[in-house]
Amino acid sequence: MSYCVNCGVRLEKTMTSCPLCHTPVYNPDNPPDTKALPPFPLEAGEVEMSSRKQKYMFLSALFLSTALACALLNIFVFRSSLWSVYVIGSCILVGIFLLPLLTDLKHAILNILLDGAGTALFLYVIYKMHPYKNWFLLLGLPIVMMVTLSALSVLMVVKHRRIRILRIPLVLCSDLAVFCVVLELLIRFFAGKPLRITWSAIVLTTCIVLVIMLYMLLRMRGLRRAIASRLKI
Amino acid sequence: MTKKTHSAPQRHKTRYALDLSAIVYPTLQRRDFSSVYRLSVLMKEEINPEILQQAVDRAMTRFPYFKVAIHRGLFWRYLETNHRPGPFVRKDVSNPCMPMPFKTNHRYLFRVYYYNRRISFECHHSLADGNGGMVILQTITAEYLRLMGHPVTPGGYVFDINQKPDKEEYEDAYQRYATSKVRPPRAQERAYRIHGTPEPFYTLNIVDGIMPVSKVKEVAGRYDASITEYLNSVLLYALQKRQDDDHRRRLRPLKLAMPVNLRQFFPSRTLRNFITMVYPSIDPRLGTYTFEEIISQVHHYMRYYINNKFLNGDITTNAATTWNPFIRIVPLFIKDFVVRLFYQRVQDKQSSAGLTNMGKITVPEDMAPFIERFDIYMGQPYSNRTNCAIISFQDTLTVNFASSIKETDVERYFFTKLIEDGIPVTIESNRTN
Repeated sequence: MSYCVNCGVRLEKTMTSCPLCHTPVYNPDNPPDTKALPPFPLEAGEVEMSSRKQKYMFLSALFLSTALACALLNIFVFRSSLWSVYVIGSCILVGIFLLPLLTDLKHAILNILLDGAGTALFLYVIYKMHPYKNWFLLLGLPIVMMVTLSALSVLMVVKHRRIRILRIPLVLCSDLAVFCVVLELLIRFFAGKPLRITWSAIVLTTCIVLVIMLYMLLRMRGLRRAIASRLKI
Repeated sequence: MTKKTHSAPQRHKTRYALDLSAIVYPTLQRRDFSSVYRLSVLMKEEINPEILQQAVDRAMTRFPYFKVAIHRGLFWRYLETNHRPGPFVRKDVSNPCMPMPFKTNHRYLFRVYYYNRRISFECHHSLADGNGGMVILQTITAEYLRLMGHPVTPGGYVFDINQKPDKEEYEDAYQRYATSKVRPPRAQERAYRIHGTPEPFYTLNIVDGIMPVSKVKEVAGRYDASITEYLNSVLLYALQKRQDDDHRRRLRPLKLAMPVNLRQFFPSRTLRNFITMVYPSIDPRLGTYTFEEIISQVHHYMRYYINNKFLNGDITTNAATTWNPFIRIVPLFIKDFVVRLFYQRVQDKQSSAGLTNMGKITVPEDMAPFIERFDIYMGQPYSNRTNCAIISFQDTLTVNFASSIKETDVERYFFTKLIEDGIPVTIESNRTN
């Protein structure tokens, strides 16, 4: 056995360097015995994962069989309309929404983008079957894009390294205000009415008050502490 | 408190409520984290895995309340008898205390490993504390020795496997002893946190320091301190040096989270959790502490706080939350959210490192000649920091560091201080560079 010249500790006979300071062992009279069995095994263990993949496979099989059964019924029995497209589309969409079961938070952005793209595609298919007043481009697609962007903004806050709990309601309130205003404007534009805000103004005002309050709370540490001490349970 | 259910005519399933501490640990479960600790015994001869498996099978019949799986109820989690095959012994790995997802390992909440001369027992904290784990490890080891042809008399940590289990062995002792009329507040100031480079998923760096008990006792005696007080102080001293190295404008208090075995103050034979945390600390904002000052601070802290009155207050504070009828009817997912948030934002931030001292381990006389030493690992820390665990057997004291960061400054300062004080330390590690 050798001693570390830097730390002074005695090193186990198989060690070629000190694990505390990484100083290599140099002892010509008694070199490290690299052939002896080390105190710890060298093979790393794999963390056994629970059956998330199996859950996804089970649910996929369930939805796939539903879609297939509906398609067959539509082709051979109930042929009056293409009703099975809705069921098949919904099943595919649910499959996309369940993808996070397979992945972790690292791929959350990709999952949200996929969810958005899948929903938009499904709406487009429905639009092709019911092409009424260009509703897909004027209503469907912008709403899907807004919801996707809102989800992404909340995710950014949650994933932020120094997350503060108040930031989440702040972003949610801001998103809700923008969403409601844009939604009302889109509906009015689609219906051919003059562009102004009515009901969304109430949501907007409430959200602005909340956002200002939350922002002040985030900025003013003293106020946060004062409220926290008064609300202590 | 147990409740029997009869789902199958031949296989009775017994339900066990989680104890007060055990309620928290499953809540903290993540894909990359489980509250798992490890106890190891280093024998003098190589382990025979087939015999070890037989020993596990035989010994575990004595502990039906360990052969359980954890389940979710609407309001609380509970343990239920697990009739699945196993637990099976397995070859040891270089990264101990791996996460233990509840639906893997045939739903058992403990694992038994073997490597060369070592038997290791890893246990989820929702099942038992170190004391309970030591009973299982020693009972398995005693049975192993018996199967190898060496008679071992039951006693101490070694239970008689032919005896029937006693109800007190799985009682929630907290509820029996939480009788204080005042409930001291739980939240404390945030402590210094070690900033290190996280290791990739999943790596647990181990550094073991092996030293003679007699020498440590002699050195601790020079400072008028016990072994625990002395080693606590050395760790605080190492953390103070580490904080100085950071050159931060804002210093923070240095606190150790130290579990105290409550059985020595409140008699109970429970093998479930029966520990509470105390936080020996120093505050470098008041000025740099010399080692003698740290020893004095720790010595007085321990004498002042570690007694049945203060500890009773502490466990009553914790137990009171489970008595509140409004909290009881809150659905489990909300409880999980709140507990996790409290742990992440308050509990986890009020200590700089964990330190546990299992103390002097005794074994039956006829078992002692076959054992070289014991090891204990507190397992993966919840956040980036270093956990330290101490255990001694005969004249061998082992200090086991476990951390999930690359840097080894705290360990180095710790062992260097021991060397400076004249204690010879032998180092073993699973670090490869």
